[in-house]
Amino acid sequence: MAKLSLWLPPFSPDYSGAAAVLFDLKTVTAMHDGSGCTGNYTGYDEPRWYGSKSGIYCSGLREIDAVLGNDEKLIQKMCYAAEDIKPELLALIGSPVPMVIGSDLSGIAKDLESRTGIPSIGLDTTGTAYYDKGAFWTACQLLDKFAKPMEAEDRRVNILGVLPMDFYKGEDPALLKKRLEQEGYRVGITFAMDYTLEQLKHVGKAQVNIAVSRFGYLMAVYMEKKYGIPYLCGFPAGKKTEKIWLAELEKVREEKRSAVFGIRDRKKESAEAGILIIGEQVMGNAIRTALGTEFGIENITVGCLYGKEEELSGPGDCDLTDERMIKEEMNSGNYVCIIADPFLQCLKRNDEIIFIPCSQYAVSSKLGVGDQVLLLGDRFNQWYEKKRGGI
Amino acid sequence: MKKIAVYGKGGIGKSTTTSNLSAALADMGYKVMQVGCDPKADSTKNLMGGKKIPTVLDQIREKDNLVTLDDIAFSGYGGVVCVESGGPTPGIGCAGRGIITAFEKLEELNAFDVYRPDIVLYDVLGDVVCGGFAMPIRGGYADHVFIVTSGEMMALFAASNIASAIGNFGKRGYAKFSGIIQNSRNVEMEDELVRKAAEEMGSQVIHIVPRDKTVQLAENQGKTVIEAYPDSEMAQGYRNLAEKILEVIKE
Repeated sequence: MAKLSLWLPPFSPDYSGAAAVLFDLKTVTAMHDGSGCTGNYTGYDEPRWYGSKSGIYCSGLREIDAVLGNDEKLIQKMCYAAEDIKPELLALIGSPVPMVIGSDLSGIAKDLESRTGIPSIGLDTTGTAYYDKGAFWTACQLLDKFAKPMEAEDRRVNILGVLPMDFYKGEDPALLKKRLEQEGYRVGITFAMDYTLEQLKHVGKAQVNIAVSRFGYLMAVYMEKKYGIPYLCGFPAGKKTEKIWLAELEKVREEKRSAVFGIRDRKKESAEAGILIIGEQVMGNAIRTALGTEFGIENITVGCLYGKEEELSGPGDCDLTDERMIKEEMNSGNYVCIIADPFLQCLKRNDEIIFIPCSQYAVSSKLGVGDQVLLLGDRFNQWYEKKRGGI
Repeated sequence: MKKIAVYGKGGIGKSTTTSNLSAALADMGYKVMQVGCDPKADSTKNLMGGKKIPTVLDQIREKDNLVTLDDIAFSGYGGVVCVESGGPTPGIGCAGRGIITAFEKLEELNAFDVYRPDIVLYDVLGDVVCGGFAMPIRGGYADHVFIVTSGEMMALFAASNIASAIGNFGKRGYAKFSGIIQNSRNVEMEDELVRKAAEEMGSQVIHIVPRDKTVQLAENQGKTVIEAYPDSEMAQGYRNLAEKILEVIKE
């Protein structure tokens, strides 16, 4: 029962991450489920959904089709939709039922591709992993299918790891793109929000991949192996930090050596209580680095909600895999301040601890929109000055 | 690395044939891995001196995410790496899904990269009754499927079902149906019956294993014929089968 959540909702699952990556493309994407998973994605995990023309559909899986393994019905529906819509890609996204009955969505996708001639992918998402993993698996399949190694273009970079679950409507990454362009860079793609298949085909032309989330980091590591593109993992939150970050980006570009940006090893060995940042690891690191550089705060711990990458971790950083662990860490007595999604505030048991809300769509969805924060450059300073209280 | 799945009706001699094949291939100098895909978990018993090994699902049940390769892969006769997928308690759970979970665990632990086998043999229970039992022939797993059958009607019927399942998956990039191994039961006109059935399935009999008491005698000792009676005619027969299979998968 350790995984039981009494106060928190389930965070965005892998199938939502997969669908979010495919949202911008001209696809026929079927989430293979009865309708609950599709409803979960469109209703709670995808702020772009209403008013959009995205080709994400529900397969309408029914009990008898699951029991009989009636894959042909799904294939036929996809073929009809393909004839009608003429998409660039057909995609099948898994959910718990296909997982339990062992549907081979990759195999069905191969069948679809041979019948329609349209590139097809099958994603064995199950609803039991978080959105970043589903997004990563989808990205790998798209890269393998569409993106060939290419000669690098001078000062061309990609921004990787942009999902609504981390960046809501993508304003911060869009601002980062503008900032990079001001610095003379050409941004090849902002993956996976506001991009096209054509841009995806040319990701191999980048000199550096910029990973702005754990999903982006996983992708950057994959792309370094596949295309030899070095990466800079980190986001430039904070006015002074932004300049240091830009210098680091230039260094990665010139030296062709990947780097993880930020302060991770300067955790003060002190009895004084510090700050706990809970959320996605890369943006958690960005806030830590900015607090250190802009405000001289050093005793900061990052608690990772969706999984912890060792390369991105500092001493004492923790993997908070369930609600009980989150609650224990928040109330451990080690912190005077907690920066986290507003939904986590109810787990705090000590009124003296300052709670600074910083929404993640993967946790509080529409209900946290009022606490969405822009962190690029000076925006971080303005936000923190307003929220810091007595710290 | 070549990956082979062996299917056939329950009780037809798949595990006996597969274990002897593994032992023969190991004697020929190949690094072999045998994965039993049956909740009974006795595929590799005769490679392990008659002892049953802990299964992947048993270990997941007990240790959850802390399972390591040492918990589920064991070195048997001739260095054959023995793994049993296992299954749920009889009467509950889902055996097919169990096979998928076991395969996912092997993948997660990078079993093939760690042991680097030249040949992997999947010994799969009975018929392809659900998605889980098709797992070994999916893309990325076995490249070739061999079906073990005797001349008995029910065995041939099961073989035909398996062949048609493989045929149905033709466009999905699954394993290729590469031939039939006849495990003789001394049925009247057996060779002819199996040959005809193979023809109807669009395949051929690649080898005939005769019925011989040394198989039983070796099993009584918890061994394969290759180990217990290496100089017997039967052992030579299994070596011939191993050579034939190598020839077929080379093509």
